[in-house]
Amino acid sequence: MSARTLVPPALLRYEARHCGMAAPALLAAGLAGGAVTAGSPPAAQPALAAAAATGLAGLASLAVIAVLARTRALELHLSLPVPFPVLLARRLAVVAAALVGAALALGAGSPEAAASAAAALCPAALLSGVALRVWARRHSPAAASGAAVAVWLGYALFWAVHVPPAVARPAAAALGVVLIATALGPRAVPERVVEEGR
Amino acid sequence: MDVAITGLTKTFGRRTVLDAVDLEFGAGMTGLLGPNGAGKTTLMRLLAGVLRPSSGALVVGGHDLRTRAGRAFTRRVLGYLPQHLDLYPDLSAREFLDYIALLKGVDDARTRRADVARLLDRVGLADSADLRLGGFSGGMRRRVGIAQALLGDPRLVIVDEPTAGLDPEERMRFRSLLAGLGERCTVVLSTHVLDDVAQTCPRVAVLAAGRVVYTGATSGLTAYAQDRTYLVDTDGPQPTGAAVTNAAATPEGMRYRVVADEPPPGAVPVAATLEDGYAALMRDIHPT
Amino acid sequence: MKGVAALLAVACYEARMAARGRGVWIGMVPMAALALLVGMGRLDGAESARLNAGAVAEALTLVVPVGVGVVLADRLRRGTAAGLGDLLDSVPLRGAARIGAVLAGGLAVALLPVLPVTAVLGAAAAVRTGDAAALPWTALAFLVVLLPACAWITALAGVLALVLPAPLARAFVVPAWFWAVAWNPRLLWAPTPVGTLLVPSGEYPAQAWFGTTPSWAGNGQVGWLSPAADGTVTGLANLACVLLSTALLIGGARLIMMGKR
Ligand SMILES: Nc1ncnc2c1ncn2[C@@H]1O[C@H](COP(=O)(O)OP(=O)(O)OP(=O)(O)O)[C@@H](O)[C@H]1O
Ligand SMILES: [Mg+2]
Repeated sequence: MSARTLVPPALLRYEARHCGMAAPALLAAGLAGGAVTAGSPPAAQPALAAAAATGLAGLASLAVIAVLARTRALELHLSLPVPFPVLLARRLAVVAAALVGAALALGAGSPEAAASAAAALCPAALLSGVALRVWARRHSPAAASGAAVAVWLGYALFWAVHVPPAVARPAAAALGVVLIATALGPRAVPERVVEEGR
Repeated sequence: MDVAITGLTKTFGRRTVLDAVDLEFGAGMTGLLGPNGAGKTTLMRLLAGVLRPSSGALVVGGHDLRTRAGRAFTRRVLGYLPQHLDLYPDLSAREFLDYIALLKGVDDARTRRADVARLLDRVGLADSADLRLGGFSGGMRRRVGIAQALLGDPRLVIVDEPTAGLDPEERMRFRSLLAGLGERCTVVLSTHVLDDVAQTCPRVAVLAAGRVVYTGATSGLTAYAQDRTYLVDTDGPQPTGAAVTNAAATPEGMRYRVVADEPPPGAVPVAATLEDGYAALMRDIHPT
Repeated sequence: MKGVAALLAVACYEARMAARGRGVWIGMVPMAALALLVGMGRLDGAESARLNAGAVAEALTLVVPVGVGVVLADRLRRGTAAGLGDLLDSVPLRGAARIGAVLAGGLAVALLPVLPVTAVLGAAAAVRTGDAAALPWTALAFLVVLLPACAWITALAGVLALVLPAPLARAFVVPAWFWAVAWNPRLLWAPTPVGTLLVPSGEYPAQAWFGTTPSWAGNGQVGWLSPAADGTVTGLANLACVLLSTALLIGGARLIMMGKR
């Protein structure tokens, strides 16, 4: 196998199909959130925009879990040349692309589009990281979504309220990246799931 | 592709499922037999790199499976059919095989299309190739699994109960499909259908409770029951002190096929089959 | 009598399966940690042990049911999957009662991590107020404020997961809960049970038996459904409404499952 760094487009198409409705649903949610915010009275807009951003972040983690829950033939995938974490990373890249689109759509109308996208993307990284990490360990959609929702509420009710955004967002994003890296990185051991009998 | 297994042990928690297994598989077909829970699937999962050994070594084509590079090498030459394979229900058979071929690194679209069409034909699914897998019957799913294992010209084929759920015709077709591979690559096949092994595998290994209890020529396993297999016609009770391999009602009473060290009264010696040999071996392991 | 024993057995086995599968209670551990944080924030010790217990339970009821609903959403659907539905339908025990027992078993396991948190909060309240009665008051508040809310959301999540794909149902549980207990119709109008006797937030019982000051009860959009929170009568009426709507949801689940066959 030579240095084949590019994923064949045909393969990417399959991986996108394996994500099901998660990516389109996320995009639709972003567009709807953006439209509702833009259409509401100016006084309510900041609160709505903040709620929409955190809401989108939570939805993103549930979309990640939906994609993970759709994996089939785990044992077969573990025996194929493409490492299983790489396979998951490709599928999650599809969700990530949809999420970025949704986050941009959320702030499209407002003058602080970049800030509002960051308000969604940073917690989304954290929550997706939590979901992915729990999934990698347990392979249970219930456990992963329970954890993601708890962190989601914790972020919205405490972290985002008491910590200034300039700190809260980068910290969340950094923690999320670490969690994603441990779940998909070279030290991940997806075989453990077969070991534990799922 | 030679496979060498030495001192292979696998434990789940405190339970030892494979206990110091030594085995070698060479080119050609080897059958893997053993009672339920003997450790066949566990051994195949270890070979396929789906599980990691607790101790001992697995070497495939000179590459040690304990190393990352060794596992990567094995995955590139491997065709694996797990015992339980849940297929993607939203893909058609053709799409699923195309997808797996892509993951196996068959990048050229034309090669892929030809390979997939050839294998679909070989497993008798050419007519249902474009139907969704979600609507497939159990045997059809199994055939998709078999086709998938043979994609990408594998040199080591590990198939775990490939014929479970196949109808008689498909089972015969499967045998000829494997026979076509036999000379070029190493095939390890587990099954509970001794006929599959008798017909296709020149060599066989038998596991029981995590240990290898027989390895060698298939004819050698049959020979276990040579001069110990009898037919007994009786209207009385089942013969005792013998392993009954078959029983049939006859107008006069019952006809039992038994494997026994001493011929029961009225027994007629007959030629042993692989089934008799297996029964004799199991009887020697757990004398009842 | 025999029917009750059978229902109990269904609930026990469901609980055992949920506990062994571990996803349910492990998924609730982070939520229990959040509950501890939320509950601690509500303890001020300045008031009576009884009031403290009610206020803490009300605060927990805002967040804990969300986790319960999300974690348990697929329990009913799993029962219908892979031939298990046909098998269960062939046993003598049928109908809504069995669905209720299944949900109750799952709910018991989901609340396992919340129990120690409640105990800790009760103990903390006892220390802060210097009144050991805080412990039984907290236990009572758990029973009449938090538990009915959790039962309601469990049934709702179960129904949602029967009509929607499980991930979508989970995604809906979160806004559904905040719509049911914390929607402010004056900011953005929408029909909501907030402020009426139908609300599952536990505001009425908390006022009735723990003396908290409700923030919404009595201000619902339908006047005759929104009596001012006024002691035992409204407390019981609200409890009855919540349990009745839980039963209706379970009945709905039963109809949907029959329709699917
Ligand atoms: N993930 C696991 N965790 C715990 N025990 C396991 C696990 N996988 C297998 N076992 C145990 O290991 C033993 C061997 O199982 P294995 O599946 O390898 O048997 P087998 O020979 O393939 O049986 P069968 O013919 O029924 O397929 C069994 O006793 C089984 O219970
Ligand atoms: Mg097996």
